[in-house]
Amino acid sequence: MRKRWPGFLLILVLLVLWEFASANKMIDPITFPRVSVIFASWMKAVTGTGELTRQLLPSMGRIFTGFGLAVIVAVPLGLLMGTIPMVYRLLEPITEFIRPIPSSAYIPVAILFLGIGNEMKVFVIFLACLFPILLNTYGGVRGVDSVLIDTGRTFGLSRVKALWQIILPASLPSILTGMRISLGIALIVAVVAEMITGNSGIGYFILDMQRIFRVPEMFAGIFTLGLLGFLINFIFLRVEGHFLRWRGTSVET
Amino acid sequence: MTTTFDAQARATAQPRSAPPIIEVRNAAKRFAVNGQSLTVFDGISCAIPQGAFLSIVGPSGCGKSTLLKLISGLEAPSGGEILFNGARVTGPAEGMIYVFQQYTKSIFPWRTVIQNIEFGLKSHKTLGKRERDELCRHYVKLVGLEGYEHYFPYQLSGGMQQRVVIARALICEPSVLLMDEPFSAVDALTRAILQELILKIWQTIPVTILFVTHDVEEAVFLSSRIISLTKSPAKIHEDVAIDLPYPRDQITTRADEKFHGLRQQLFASIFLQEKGGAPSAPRS
Repeated sequence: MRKRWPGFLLILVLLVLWEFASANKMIDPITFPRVSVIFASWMKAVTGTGELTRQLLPSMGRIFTGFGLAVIVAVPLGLLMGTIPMVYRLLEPITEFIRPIPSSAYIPVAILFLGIGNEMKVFVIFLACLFPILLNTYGGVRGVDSVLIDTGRTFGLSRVKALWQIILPASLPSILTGMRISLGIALIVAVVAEMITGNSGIGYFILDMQRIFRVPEMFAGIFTLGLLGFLINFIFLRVEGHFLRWRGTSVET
Repeated sequence: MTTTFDAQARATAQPRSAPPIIEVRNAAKRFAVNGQSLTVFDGISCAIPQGAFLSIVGPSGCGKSTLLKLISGLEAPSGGEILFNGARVTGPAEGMIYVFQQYTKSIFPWRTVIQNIEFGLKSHKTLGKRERDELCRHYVKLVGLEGYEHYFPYQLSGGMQQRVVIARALICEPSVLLMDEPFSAVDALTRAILQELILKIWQTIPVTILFVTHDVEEAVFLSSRIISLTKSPAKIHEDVAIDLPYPRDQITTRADEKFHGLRQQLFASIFLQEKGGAPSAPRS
């Protein structure tokens, strides 16, 4: 953390510049309100009225439900694809075909089947999270060194035990990378889905504030997203560092 | 040492007629390379008596490691058969443990030293937690890793990692240890120390060791018997009993004139083959 102060200093300088430019009407103070004004409305929306906090919870609920479901489905599926060639040959083409489609493109389809409620949003987040985890899982499994697998064999490990005791831990770094990518995507997709339909969530809040021209609150929402993304990544890196402490390379947070 | 039984008698006075623990009968191995069949060897036969320290030497690429893989059951022969305690080997057999040349790839990096060693115990479900811990500690001590129990492999030197791998293999009390150039990737001094360690272990524990190496001097120093292979397709070129007295150590054994004679004899035969002067078939 100590070596990162120049980066944080730059953020501070930029915010001060923004404050100064807006106060002196060098940029339009209506579309770019002063940072101090944004901060004041952020404080109010978080601690005072609580309208921002109220919107944060449904968003996070969706993100973690969708992400969690994706982990539950993608990790076992990826392990199967990585270990059983038949399963790989069966599922690899369809995976490669669906993967490049931006997950936001599913939203209209999801609305048709699931409506505009919470289920639709969770489903779209789930789908968006699925592929990075799946790809990284089976990629990791296929990358496990044959010596490691033969070591299990010479000790008489059954295939199921080898999956659990050798293949899973050996591909864990790759699986965790997939999960981290997915978490980032989950945040994006959640906001997009909330902006398109619905009446709750941080995405909805940002769009709603823009529509009723409460620009400081709109920015407060955007900054909250930045903070949320940063926090999620920070916590995840800590978790990753704990599970991969055997690699010896400290994960930078 | 009171636990050391007479390794000398076991190694050299062992009558060849004793029932072999491993028997290789007409083993063949062929690989398909670019659509062509490549014969590594065809028709190798040998019997390995219980308790032997047998080294397999030969020019690089002659199929020493392949032969060891066939014996272990990790790979299936293309022809012939392998018998272990009289039973045909059809897969990795219980009682035989293969120690890989690439110890860095064979060690479990996510397990600590003690956890790696404990892995060798996995199949022994009958042991209680306390007994397991005691056994693990015993083998940690045997390979000289006290104080490093809770280190992860990345925190260890190559020689220490190899010790972990050896302890992990020994703890399941195999009757046969198959070692594929286990010391080829460590520095010379570490190698000398590990050679003495494996000799000490062999003299303490009733285990048969099959040892593949390209280093003739190492083979002579360790073995009770050496089989040398010809160039691919390999045949057994020489089968030499090494009647140097046990216990051996790096200083006195290596100073022995007999040691030099044996080393010279084996080295010459392998070196001439590698140069292409001795009987060998052209490699495709």
